[in-house]
Amino acid sequence: MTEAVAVQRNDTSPKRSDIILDVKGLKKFFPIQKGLLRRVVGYVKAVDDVSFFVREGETLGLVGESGCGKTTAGRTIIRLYEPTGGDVYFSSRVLGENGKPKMVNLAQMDKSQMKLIRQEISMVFQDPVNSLNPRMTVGDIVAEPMRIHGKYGVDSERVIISLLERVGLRPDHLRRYPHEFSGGQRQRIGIARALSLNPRLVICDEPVSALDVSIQAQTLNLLEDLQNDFNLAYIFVAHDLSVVQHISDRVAVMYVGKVAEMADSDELYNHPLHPYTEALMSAVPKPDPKYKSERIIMQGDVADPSNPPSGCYFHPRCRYAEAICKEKVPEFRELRPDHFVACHRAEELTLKGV
Amino acid sequence: MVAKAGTRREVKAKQVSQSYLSLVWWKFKKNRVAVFGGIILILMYFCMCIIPEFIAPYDLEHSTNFPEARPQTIRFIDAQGKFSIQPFVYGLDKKIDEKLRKRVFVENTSVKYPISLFVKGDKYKLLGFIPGDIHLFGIRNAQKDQYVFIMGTDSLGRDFFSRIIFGGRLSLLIGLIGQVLTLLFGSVLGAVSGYYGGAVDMFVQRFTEFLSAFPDIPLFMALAAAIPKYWSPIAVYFMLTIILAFVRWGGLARQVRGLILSLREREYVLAAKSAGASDARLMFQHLLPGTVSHIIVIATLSIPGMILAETSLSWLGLGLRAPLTSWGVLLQEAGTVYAIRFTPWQLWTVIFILIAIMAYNMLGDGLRDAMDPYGGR
Ligand SMILES: Nc1ncnc2c1ncn2[C@@H]1O[C@H](COP(=O)(O)OP(=O)(O)OP(=O)(O)O)[C@@H](O)[C@H]1O
Ligand code: SF4
Ligand SMILES: [Mg+2]
Repeated sequence: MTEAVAVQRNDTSPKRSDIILDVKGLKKFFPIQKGLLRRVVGYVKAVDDVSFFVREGETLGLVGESGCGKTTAGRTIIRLYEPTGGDVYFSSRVLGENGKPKMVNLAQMDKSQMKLIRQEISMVFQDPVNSLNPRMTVGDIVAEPMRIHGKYGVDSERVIISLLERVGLRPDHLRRYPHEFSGGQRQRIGIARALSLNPRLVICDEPVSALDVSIQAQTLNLLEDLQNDFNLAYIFVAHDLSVVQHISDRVAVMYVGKVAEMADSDELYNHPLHPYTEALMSAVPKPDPKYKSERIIMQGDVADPSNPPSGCYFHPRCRYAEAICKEKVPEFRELRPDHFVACHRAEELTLKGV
Repeated sequence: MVAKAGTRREVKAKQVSQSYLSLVWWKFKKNRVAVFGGIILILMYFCMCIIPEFIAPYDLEHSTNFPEARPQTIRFIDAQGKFSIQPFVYGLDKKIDEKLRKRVFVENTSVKYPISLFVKGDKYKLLGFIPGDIHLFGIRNAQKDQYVFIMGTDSLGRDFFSRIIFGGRLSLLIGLIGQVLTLLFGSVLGAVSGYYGGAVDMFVQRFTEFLSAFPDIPLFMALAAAIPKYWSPIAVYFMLTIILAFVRWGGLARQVRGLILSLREREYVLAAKSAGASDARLMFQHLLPGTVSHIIVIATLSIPGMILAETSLSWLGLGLRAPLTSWGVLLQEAGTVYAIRFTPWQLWTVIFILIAIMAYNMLGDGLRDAMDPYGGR
């Protein structure tokens, strides 16, 4: 099986075998409908040929401006949205035999098999208000995944209490309702819910962007501690490179439904290969006030995902753009070890990191 | 000191740790107007739908020798200026009014009938099976032609107050039962339409649009006119209820659909979905509970419309017909120039309809405010 999968992999494949999630050419188009008969007049290409992978126990940061398809990518992986195309390979323990994980394609999975996989992948959401049902107690909210999978038993309440304590809540919070908690506490409840079935991969969709700055750091630390304790892999979605910098082992930068660049965090920050990454990084505030870098102002707006530009989607805003950029879509390729980029001029350009 | 602070905090914790429903109830209780409306409605439904035979001094069809008698004044002080703690009415004498060229009844100040509570009178069966003959008020040991008509009589000499009480039973129930049916049609179809979308949604949507494109009253009239004349009054009553519900479910279905559509995208629903929740679980645990408060408010606020629809249909002669007695039927009898000229007390029905409708609106407004205890969420 591993060999069969290995054959299917192309050049974006990781060299190591501890891959937990391998997304290949994932696409999600939302139809645009018009008129009484709801004729489809076009598509929003929210996720358009996205490839990345996540290793066991590591954090992959997924960054990009608002509307570039980060949320859609996360939700399509876990099949909240049906993928339009592409494959999502996941190394599943539940479907594997005698403790050995098995690579399965989530994009092709039927509903009942997918339900089993859902024990291994969970989500943390952005909005601390909307992500908890106001009519359920904290205990019921955290227990819900267990109930769904028929794993709620006599000692489950004890498990839930210890989970609540682990995320920094008190046992007596069990019978309270979400509206009694602050934003940071609610996010902890959401994290406890995500961990209640012992998942191996957690998709965190901007888990801290709705929180106060002081609470953000606490929550990020909690997520890191939990990662070490439970050997979790994270896909950490954010629109802000400085948040991702702290927590990510590797970073994938998205632009209008595509991954522009993917590399180890340090590598990416020190040697960006994509002009878009460089522009994003010039906007990150520097800790040293004496160090003044010019901020690269991108002209124009983010491209419209329902009507993207030709060639490289970034060309109307790119200050290095040349004729070829308008015509040909750049290939997403591994230019340096473990460093992937989609830019025609990546080889020749020397870009500034942080 | 420390211990005191501790207990205070605990008390506070108890106060805030309340379920959604207890929060709603707590907020509702503080709204005097709404509570008042609710009490009025409970009283009206209890008196008119459960124990009307006891409340009304006479039977619905009890005709007397006093047709078109004007309401008797309830008095405490008699013609001689003597005060009695027990209220009384004067007896009625027949007289020919020369100017009106019509027989009228005038008070005979030499005959006093004291009004007592809990008097024996017409026999009845409460709810159809509890026998009794005690009425809330009346004349104790009444002889022939001794009556109390606090709201006058109709052309057959039937006590109008009693008729309003009995009329209320049908009118109030048609509002309630019709609304329950509307609720069932509307919320099931709306929820299914919002949740599944696609072709089902399309069909339900177009159908509700089709229904709402018709003006209500002509549609009622067409449907009501189609009820066969030979049907028993009770069958007509139920058919009318169903027609009212059928014409009015569309609005509710649309609202429920909209709510479900918006709730469906809430992150807590996505969270349950991403954990593998079944359709049934999503529907009954996460989606419908979020719409219940809205449904109740919408339903409460639209019962008056239902009552008015019955009233107007019956008034037009297309709804209920005698011997069934509802407020609409009573109004129809009162709706002639003759009646307005000579028996204006028959318009008392309007007062009762207004009270019921205002009470529903007060209750509905209060519920709407209370259902939103988190303020906007
Ligand atoms: N259910 C949907 N139907 C139609 N279009 C959608 C839907 N969800 C997202 N889109 C569109 O897809 C694009 C990507 O949206 P997405 O929410 O994935 O962006 P994002 O990167 O998460 O942005 P943000 O940082 O604002 O959360 C947007 O243009 C959005 O309008
Ligand atoms: S391909 Fe061309 S336009 Fe696109 S990022 Fe590279 S240089 Fe800029
Ligand atoms: Mg998003």
